[in-house]
Amino acid sequence: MAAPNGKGQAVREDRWIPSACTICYGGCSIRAHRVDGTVVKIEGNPASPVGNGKICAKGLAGIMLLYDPNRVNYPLRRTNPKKGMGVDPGWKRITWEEALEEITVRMEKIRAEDPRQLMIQVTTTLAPSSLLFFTFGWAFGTPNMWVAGGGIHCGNGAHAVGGIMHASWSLVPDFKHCNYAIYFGASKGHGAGHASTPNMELAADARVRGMRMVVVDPICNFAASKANEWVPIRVGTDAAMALAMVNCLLNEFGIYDAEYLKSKTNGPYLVRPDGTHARDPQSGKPLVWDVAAGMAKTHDDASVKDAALLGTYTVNGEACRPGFELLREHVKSHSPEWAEKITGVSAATIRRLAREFGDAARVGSTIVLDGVRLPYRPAAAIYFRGAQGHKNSSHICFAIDLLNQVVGAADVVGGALGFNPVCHGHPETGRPRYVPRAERDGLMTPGTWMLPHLPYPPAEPRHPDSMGFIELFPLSHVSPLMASADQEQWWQRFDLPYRPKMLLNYGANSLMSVGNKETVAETLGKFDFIASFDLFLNEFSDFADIILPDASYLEVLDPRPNFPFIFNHPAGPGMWGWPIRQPVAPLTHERRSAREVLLGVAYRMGLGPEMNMALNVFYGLDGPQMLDPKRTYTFEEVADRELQHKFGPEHDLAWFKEHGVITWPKKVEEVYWRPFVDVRVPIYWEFMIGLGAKIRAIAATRGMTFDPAYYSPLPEWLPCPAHEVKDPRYDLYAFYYRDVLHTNGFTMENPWLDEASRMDPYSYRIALNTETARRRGIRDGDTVWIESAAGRRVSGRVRLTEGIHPEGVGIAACAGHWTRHQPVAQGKGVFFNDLLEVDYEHTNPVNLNLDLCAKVRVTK
Amino acid sequence: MRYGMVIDLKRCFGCYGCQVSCKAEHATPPGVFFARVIKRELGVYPNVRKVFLPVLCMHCETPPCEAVCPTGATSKRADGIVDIDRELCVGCRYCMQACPYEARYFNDAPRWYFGAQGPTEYEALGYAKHPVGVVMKCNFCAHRLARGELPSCVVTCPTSARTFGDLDDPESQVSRLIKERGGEPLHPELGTGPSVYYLPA
Amino acid sequence: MGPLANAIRTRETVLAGAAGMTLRELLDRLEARYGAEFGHRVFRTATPPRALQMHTRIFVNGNAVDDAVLDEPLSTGGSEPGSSDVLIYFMPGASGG
Repeated sequence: MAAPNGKGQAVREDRWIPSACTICYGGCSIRAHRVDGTVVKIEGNPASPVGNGKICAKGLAGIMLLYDPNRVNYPLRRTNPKKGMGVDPGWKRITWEEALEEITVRMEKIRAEDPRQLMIQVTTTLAPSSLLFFTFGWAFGTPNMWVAGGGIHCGNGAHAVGGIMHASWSLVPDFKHCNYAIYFGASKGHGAGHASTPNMELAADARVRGMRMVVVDPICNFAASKANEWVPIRVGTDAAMALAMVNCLLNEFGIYDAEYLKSKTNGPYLVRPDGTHARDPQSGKPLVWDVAAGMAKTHDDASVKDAALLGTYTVNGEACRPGFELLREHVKSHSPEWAEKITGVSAATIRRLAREFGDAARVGSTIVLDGVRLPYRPAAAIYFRGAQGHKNSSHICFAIDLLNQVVGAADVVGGALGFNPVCHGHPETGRPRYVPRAERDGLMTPGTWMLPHLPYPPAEPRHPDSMGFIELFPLSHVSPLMASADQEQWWQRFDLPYRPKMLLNYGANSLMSVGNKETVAETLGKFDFIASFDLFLNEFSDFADIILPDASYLEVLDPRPNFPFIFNHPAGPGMWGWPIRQPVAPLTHERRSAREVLLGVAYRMGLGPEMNMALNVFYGLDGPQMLDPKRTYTFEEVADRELQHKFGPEHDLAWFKEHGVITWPKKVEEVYWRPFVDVRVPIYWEFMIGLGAKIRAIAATRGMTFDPAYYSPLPEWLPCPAHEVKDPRYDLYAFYYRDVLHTNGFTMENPWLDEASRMDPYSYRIALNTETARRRGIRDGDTVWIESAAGRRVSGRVRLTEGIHPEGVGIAACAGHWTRHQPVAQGKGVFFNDLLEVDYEHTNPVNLNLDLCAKVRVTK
Repeated sequence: MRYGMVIDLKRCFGCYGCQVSCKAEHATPPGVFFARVIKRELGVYPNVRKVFLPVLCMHCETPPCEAVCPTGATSKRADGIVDIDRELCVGCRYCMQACPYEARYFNDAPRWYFGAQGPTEYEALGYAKHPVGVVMKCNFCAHRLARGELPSCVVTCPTSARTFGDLDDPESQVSRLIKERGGEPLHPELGTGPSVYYLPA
Repeated sequence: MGPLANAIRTRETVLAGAAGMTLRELLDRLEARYGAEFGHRVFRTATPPRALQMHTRIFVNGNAVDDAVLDEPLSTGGSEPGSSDVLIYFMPGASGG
């Protein structure tokens, strides 16, 4: 007889269902326990390498999201034509048919006029699955798509450099083998994000094993709190410190991996006095100097035994030098003493850390793993959200990664690993398979990417055609111009021949996630119509016309929560795993899965052939699983085809629903792949010269200018606008950071996480240095105003701490919700983003990352 | 057989996984934490040390709570788990005064996470385990142990900071960790003989 | 070899070619017919041997192809005897994400 449940009734159903979390985009595998239709527990899935059975507080709290009574249940339509922050839309309930009819009719009209008038916006939390919504954009014919605050805050810089240098989205130390890891503004293994939970165990193992972790960060939390050494740094100055460290390695200690640089980077490529490569006149290939032969040859000439890294050589009558020589010379002027003035980190510390890093790298050593002899460089330097979130985003990441490159610690045992740049595929099908390959100038292009345009080689810059001007800035992925204060000015200057009319939103809250709310509100007010799939009404909803009740992650199917593997599949040795996400709770009320709605809308509009082709491309379907443009499919059918395409007909959707995940072992040649793939990476970004010139040629004519230093081929220290504020009243740097309990603004409504946040010293508070506060008469718990030099301000309660740079003002996550529709979230924490300007002036002109620090003052 | 737990403070970085996992497993009401995390800061800038201390019932060898319980509701099992028999507890709360580790909780009225909006279906199902008017606390997930599964906090911990096992067995992982890494209980000077040990950060 | 068919989004074209025609030769001929813009959308490099754009996907008789097979003769597994069905799919050139 079945055991009685809490009500004393016999239990009829008691199942554990494998699926995938999505409270953050770690997408850890879970098992949900469902008893008589109620989800009573979420745990990790020990069968999946994405988590290995563990799950963090956020994932555990998914039950409170699923059953939150404040969720949207029915389609809603505004009755109040007036839109504004805090202005009641006057929601009335409508039917799905009414909603879809209105949405479809409007979209058909827009498409007939100019499809570019449709903008699509999606949340990052369901990434990479949420990118499915971009297939609709491809089918519809609009280039105007983004992930709201995602990307322009957290990734434009990091992912572009990750792609160029490591063929991957993100970087971690090889936790299994690394002995010395320096983190710049990152918390890998101690917080949220890509492969968050798997990294936590790996980082803990490394800690116990004795890996030394040094964390360079304005605030001592998460990674810094577990570090062997916390190095407080002035906000936004990491590039200066990294450049000084590279200088120490190359010029003071002479520590660098000549073999690696010669064969695996463009270090030996000869550079002409004008900064461009010396090239073979026939093939256009860059030349190197063959030391033994005493002559210049193309970089891929097999007869070159030893290419010069140093020296000056005459080629075609010009004095040319290898790129490595230029790097070495460039960093000479970036002394630790120079960096100390900028960063506040002592020259002695900078020098010591460089020495420790260089020694730890053990240049020249090898190790045998799985019977294979591999380069062994157990030192790694990584960066992420904190370091890259500044105006000079691109150079900051480049400078930090050069630490890995000069000692040969890139994608080798113990070094800095990209997340899964190589996959040979499942042994039975050879899918998914992708390998980086050599592209223009022998430099690496990734084997797979998250979006159609690759980080390298950068596409030809073109006159912009999209709202965000991505075509003009090919190293970017998303653009702040989608919601900036100056978008209209730029659209006019560049003669953008249309204006956005409709916004289709999937779960993003751009009013809070992008920057100050006034700027974003103004851009939202321009839309004729906004349709939004949401779990909850929120601040953004004040601008929506139709709300569609979305299914939560516990109620939907996704065939690829962890693919591409470069995004959130754990890096390093172990197992490959391809899990699925499947419904673990029945849908209630009139909530529907947005994927199915999307497909339905596409077919309804007559976009079947385009949508099916877009799905073929997105899911990589061909052969018998390819979608026939002339048919219609349910999302289940599409998912079934994707899984069969990758893993064979026996591993269909039914198989995955039962087993949850398919796994197979990683090979050492996949994990430590550099020696096995003939590609080079650029330590001298020669391509920036031509790229910058082409962009300038288009942009300058329309009044869009930038300091050419951003396009220099070697990283420069360039200050943020915050560093240039002269008014002495504004003497502190405000920044935000990721909180282990939260994912941006999404989790603030969850009462279990809210409860822990109220117990946590920092989650809802403004962290301020104890001494700094004492001098201003500010006490722990005081309510203060943080005001930027531009006049924007946020308020909150102070938490005094010794664990923050004296000039730092640290705010966690994206809190401070004001909507009454999320009663748990309302009024909790601080809305940091209200301090941010959203405009071209505060945008990196290479990768379009937004500048995320503000010079502020604190008052009571 | 003496069940005990070892918490590795070198591994733990204060993610609150144990706290929320326990809450999810037992459907504890607001304000009730059979497991929770205490955070402190030590030192002076820039030499700062953060302390993350996951705490729970210590399942003491000589539990003060058992000594003061007038009804015998609280008792120490043969396997070392200190448990509460809800049927016998009258809610006098002497045990809560006696416990030096603040590990016991009491509700005199139902409380829901969404307040006036009432209980979610999850809470409605789960709160049957926590009637008002009786004291509640960690019991090392005795219901999971009975199924051959480890406590929820142990299974969930993303850094594998928590280990569970038989302190009477010198070869068990908990015993070896205590010996090899120098495990100590919290406030041993109180003399209650906790079964939870901490490895130094 | 008999007639070839390809679709550019919703456009269909039939080309006749000699046996052993490669995909690259087909694309060159389409470029000659449709102009340089077609070439830019198909190839991401300008100097020979030109490589394919990542945001343009090509399927030959239902199988996705990449740079590696550009210079191989097209297979004749198409819908008409002796033909090859070539599908060229262009995504919008730039998208955010």
